[in-house]
Amino acid sequence: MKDSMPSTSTLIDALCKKRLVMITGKGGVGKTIATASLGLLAAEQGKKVCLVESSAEDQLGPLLGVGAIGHKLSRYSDHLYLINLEPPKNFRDFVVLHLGFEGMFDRVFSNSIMRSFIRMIPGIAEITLLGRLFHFAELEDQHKFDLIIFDGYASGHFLSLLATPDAILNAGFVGPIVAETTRVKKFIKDPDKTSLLLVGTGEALVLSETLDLIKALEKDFKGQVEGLLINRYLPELPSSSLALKSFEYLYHRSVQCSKNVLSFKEEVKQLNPSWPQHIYSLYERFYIDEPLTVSSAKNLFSKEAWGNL
Amino acid sequence: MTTAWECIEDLTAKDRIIVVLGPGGVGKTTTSIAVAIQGAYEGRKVALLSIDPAKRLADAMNITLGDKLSEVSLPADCPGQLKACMLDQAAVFDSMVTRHASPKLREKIFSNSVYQQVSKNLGGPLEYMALAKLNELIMANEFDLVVLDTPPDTHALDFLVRPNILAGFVEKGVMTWLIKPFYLAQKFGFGKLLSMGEKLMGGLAHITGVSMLERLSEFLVIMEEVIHGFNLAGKQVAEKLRGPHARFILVLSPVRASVRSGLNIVSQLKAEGFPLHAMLANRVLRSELREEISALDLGELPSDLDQDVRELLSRFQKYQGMAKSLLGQLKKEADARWATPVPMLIKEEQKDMIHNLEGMIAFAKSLRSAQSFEA
Repeated sequence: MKDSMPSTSTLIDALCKKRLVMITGKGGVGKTIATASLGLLAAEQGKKVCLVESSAEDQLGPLLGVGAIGHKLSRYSDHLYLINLEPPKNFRDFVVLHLGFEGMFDRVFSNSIMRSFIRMIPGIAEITLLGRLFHFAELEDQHKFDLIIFDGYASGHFLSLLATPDAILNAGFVGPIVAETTRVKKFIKDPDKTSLLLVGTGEALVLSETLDLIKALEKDFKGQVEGLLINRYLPELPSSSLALKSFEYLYHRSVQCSKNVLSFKEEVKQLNPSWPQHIYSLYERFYIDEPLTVSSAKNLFSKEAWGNL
Repeated sequence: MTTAWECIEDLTAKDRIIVVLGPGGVGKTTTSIAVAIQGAYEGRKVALLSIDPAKRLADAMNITLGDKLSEVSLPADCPGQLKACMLDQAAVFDSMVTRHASPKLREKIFSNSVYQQVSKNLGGPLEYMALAKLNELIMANEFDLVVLDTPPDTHALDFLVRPNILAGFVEKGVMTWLIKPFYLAQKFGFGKLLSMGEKLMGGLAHITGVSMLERLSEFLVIMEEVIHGFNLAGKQVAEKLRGPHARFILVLSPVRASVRSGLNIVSQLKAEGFPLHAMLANRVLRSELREEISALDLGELPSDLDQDVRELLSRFQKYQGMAKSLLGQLKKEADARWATPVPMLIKEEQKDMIHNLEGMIAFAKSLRSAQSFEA
């Protein structure tokens, strides 16, 4: 049974109240589609939005039809910008922009021994990434973005990203890096500023891993999970007399998808009945019409939904 | 053309090291387990290392998290043996320390607060751990076949270049020129040596604060033996992975994002000088459906058919055509890069989710009869 629907605009409105939305989920579920669609729709509502990814190879740019843009804040429209953060360049930006050490950076870090040292330090890519998200959301004063959407890592790596500030603070350091980490952590853990959106699909395996992710977030980030977005959602098809195996296949998948999501809802309820978040969905389209546009993004969002978790 | 049978035969020959690569969510772990099971059915003693944090399949197979291999109990008709492990970063880190650090340093390392955070809570070291563990298994000479499942997403190839990062650290003399002088100067007050290193560390201390740098350098100094151990393991494994026994498999699914990542992995692999032995296109639509939907004339559908259903079928048909051309594109690219045909096996979508060992064995056995991609 489906409850009354929280619509796309409910989701966009909720996300637009925050400064940063981080998107995560199992690999291959459609995090990038979710990021790009939400970005287009939020920008269309007049918000100034920046989409951030940190991938070996650009994904957002090609999806939006502007090609690979790399580590350069690039304008898609007046209201939508994107960037793919490359860890070494991001480290420089972090040191120069946050900490204001431009001359020194080039003196110190252009040394190859020093570069080898820096590359070796674990967690450095993660903390500078979080630092830059904070910077775009709160400090950047040229574009003054209303909303940053981060096309996050897959769940496992994402959890270690979230754990990085505490790891640095618990290692017993003091000094400027600690002050910076403290302020980044405060921002990331502030439910008024940062929210998380989980992406999954209607497949049983994906949903069971989503449940693991929810359990892992339960302790420190529960209040910040805005909801779950079910990608590749096939609404239940009208039973038909079409004598086609392809139709039967799609019909079977649509039934399975609803069944899986409903039993997932039950499991989440058992885990913790007070999870107030919503489930939204993006329709199965089999392929994305590239470049993704505002109208195709709108069409992706399902009109029906699953109600509260 | 290489058949699936020949391909699996080659992959599961004696003394193989198999690296399974691919974007996230395509069934990489499933494929790794399947290849390992196939090896066991060939009579091999197989070790499987997974570094994918997804735990579901592992649970179904009774594979434990840690750094110890546990036996997967295969049916009695299986002549070989399979041991597997889901790598836990902290556990492998601890065992590397136990192996490489002198007893008096061990306690110091385990109680060091930087070590505790680095080993347990920070991302990145898992790749070093996987390499160290892989090396340990190869060196132990106890297995005929070692299968390594790699982490998802853009990190797929990170671990292949990890040895270079560590080698850069060790061989450029970072310890000798930067860390140790700084550590000693702080600890014993050797005054301000006007060395290059002193200036650099002074610069870094500006950012991190002297105390952080002190702790970090102390950590690195007590870890020196372990770091050398990792470096050695990394070098040995890198050599093995470039040797005649290594086999690389790329797993992907027939959708645009996955093929795009696949193309990227192909070009990175080639750029790093590694080979590619086989590709597995997973979750391809069953052939009866592929044939039916390709031949379907949408104009012939009943005129009173629900508009949404009609559109769905139309997109489904178009997707089928796209999937084929995407796979063709990847195959062409791989063949051209290595100037030799790289076999691409087609694994059809399973009707049901694999949730236990029996399902996994059935999946593994079906690999041998997989079709090969034909353009």
